[in-house]
Amino acid sequence: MKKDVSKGFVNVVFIVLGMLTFLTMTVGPAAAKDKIRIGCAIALSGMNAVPARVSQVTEYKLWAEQTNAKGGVYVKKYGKKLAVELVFYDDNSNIETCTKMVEKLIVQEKVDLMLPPWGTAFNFAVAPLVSKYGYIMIGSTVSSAKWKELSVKAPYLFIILNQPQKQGKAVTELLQDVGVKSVAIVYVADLFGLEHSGVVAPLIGQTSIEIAMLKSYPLGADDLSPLIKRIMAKKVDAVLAYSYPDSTFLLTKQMIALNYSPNLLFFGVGQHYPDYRESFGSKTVEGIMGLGAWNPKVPASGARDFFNAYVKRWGKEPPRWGEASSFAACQIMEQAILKAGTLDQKKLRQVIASETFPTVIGQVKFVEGTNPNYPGDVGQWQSGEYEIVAPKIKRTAEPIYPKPKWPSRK
Amino acid sequence: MKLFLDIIISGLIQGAIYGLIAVGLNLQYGVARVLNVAHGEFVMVGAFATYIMYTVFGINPLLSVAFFSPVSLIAGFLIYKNLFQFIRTSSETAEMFEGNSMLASFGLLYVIQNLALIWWGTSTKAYSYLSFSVGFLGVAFEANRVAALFVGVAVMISFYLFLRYSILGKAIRAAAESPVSAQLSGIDVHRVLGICFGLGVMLACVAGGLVSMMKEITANMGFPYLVTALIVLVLGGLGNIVGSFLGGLIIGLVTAAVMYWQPELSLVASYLIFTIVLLIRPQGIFVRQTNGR
Repeated sequence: MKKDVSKGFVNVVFIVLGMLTFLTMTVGPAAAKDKIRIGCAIALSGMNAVPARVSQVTEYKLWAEQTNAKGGVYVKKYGKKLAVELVFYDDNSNIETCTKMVEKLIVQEKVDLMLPPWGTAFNFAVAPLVSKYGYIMIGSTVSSAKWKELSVKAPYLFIILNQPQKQGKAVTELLQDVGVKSVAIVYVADLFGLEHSGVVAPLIGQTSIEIAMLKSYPLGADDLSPLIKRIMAKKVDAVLAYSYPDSTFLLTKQMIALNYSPNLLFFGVGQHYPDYRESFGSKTVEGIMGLGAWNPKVPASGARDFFNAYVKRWGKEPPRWGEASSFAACQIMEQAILKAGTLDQKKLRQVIASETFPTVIGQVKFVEGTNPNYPGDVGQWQSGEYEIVAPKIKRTAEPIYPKPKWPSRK
Repeated sequence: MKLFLDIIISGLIQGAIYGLIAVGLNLQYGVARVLNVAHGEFVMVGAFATYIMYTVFGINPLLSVAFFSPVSLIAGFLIYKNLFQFIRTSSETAEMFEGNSMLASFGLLYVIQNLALIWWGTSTKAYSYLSFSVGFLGVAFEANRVAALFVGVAVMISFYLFLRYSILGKAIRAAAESPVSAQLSGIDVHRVLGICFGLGVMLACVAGGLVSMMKEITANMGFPYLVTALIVLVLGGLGNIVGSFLGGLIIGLVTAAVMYWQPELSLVASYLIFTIVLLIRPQGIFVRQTNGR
């Protein structure tokens, strides 16, 4: 009999322990939430790995480290600061893999927030997906005139980078302002080149500037000297090349070797890298212009701090365009969590869509899902800094025109 | 006339680079039967090595290319001996070896690329060497590209003479035609195939060194060269070393010509040739109909 009583007691103890364990398992995580998990499916390998790491991964890691160093992000719902944890998945530069990875991060990893993949096409591919699951995403490497059509299907995607229409207008005004008479426009034959040239050419066409040439060239070209020689024959004042980093470097190299230096030389992407300045030298790149610009002199709180922190952490200067906006996107998410007091995506979306956020790229207030107030639409290398020269009201320096000739070489 | 000369020289310059890379791949796939998808990564390694030697130590890129040739040959040989030879001996059939070795080379691609990303980081770099133009019959060409053409052609002629007249070259040709017969004739096939793989790596590194004089360098620059090499391989014919070099020159010439008139179609032209050759002459345009010699 005594034996039965003790056996029953042991059973009760086990049941109670079991119930406690169950309660801990079900209620525990919410009560004991100690970090904000942020998912990001992005190219860590493959063709897009270099630009993805340069323009996003580096900035996200810097933000996470800085945020955790100050104890994390305060979330009112939990009554404390939560550390942030970045969960990266490698999409292998494959758009299909990217969509699968995004879904996996949301459904299986159950991350609290999402960061975008690299590039316009990838962002467009995942935008309907994140919107379906109701996750906000702030794209910092998205630039497309087609955005308006997609935004209806993707209300949770915000775009922080400057967009082709606005940049096209700034480029045209700059050409008029410095007195360009004729221009050759060349562009890489993909969505980026087609859209930007498709915007800027009609705008220039409405002015008195003559478009002497409008030609595309293929992605990954190994020799662009035939194109350069055709441009040289046109004797234009300005060359606008809507190029990616590979062709930006190649065109520069070949133009130097062929001793062709137009009065205005403008590239798409890559000319804003400090690597570009270091590869060719400050004197050589003096006066070269490019699409989009940011520098630590812009009137934005923390711009200089971001620049210094980047140099300290990575041992080199940050590129001077959309990279700062990747950091700014994280700042916006952080501020939105503070304001909403929760990680609830609907509430966060509401805050992001309606509030104004001070960031390293200035005050950001999204209008119809995009940021109309980017700090610079055109940059120009001047004495080692990538100065903002358009739009006029945001200049950090007056444009140099004509561009100095290439320095003499041995 | 000037335009014609411009297209021919520009095409030959680019074609020589494609040819070198394709000959390397042909030695690896046509002879050693390893479809090495990491081949482009060795172009990147060659470009990095040359860049560092020039910018850090001030060593002439062409000297670096000469220095790294035997180093890369030995490295390639060791990769074959330690990775692909093991797969060859453990694969039951030739088809199984081809499949397994290709998968292993995918692994090699990711290992090399990620090591480069870790070590090199996300930098895009370039340097200026012979960065001026030289005139030839009134047409201007970049001096570094002309130098690359001379080196490329010199390497290929030396390589052709080596294959044609040296004992080892004859052994390679024998192994390419029939590994079994070669083995029965007393040729150490594993050693020969290892050397073929090593020579493939060497040619990719030489091409990479030359490319570094002309273009920017990044950790992910290699893959497009693999794609071009595969096109050239199909054009020249599997196992046909001279055909690969000539195929490279053809692709270079066609690309240069199209680049003059319709730049946007220059890539399309390469793929069009590739498709036509696959349709009407899948064994390659330089392979004799008899038995692929």
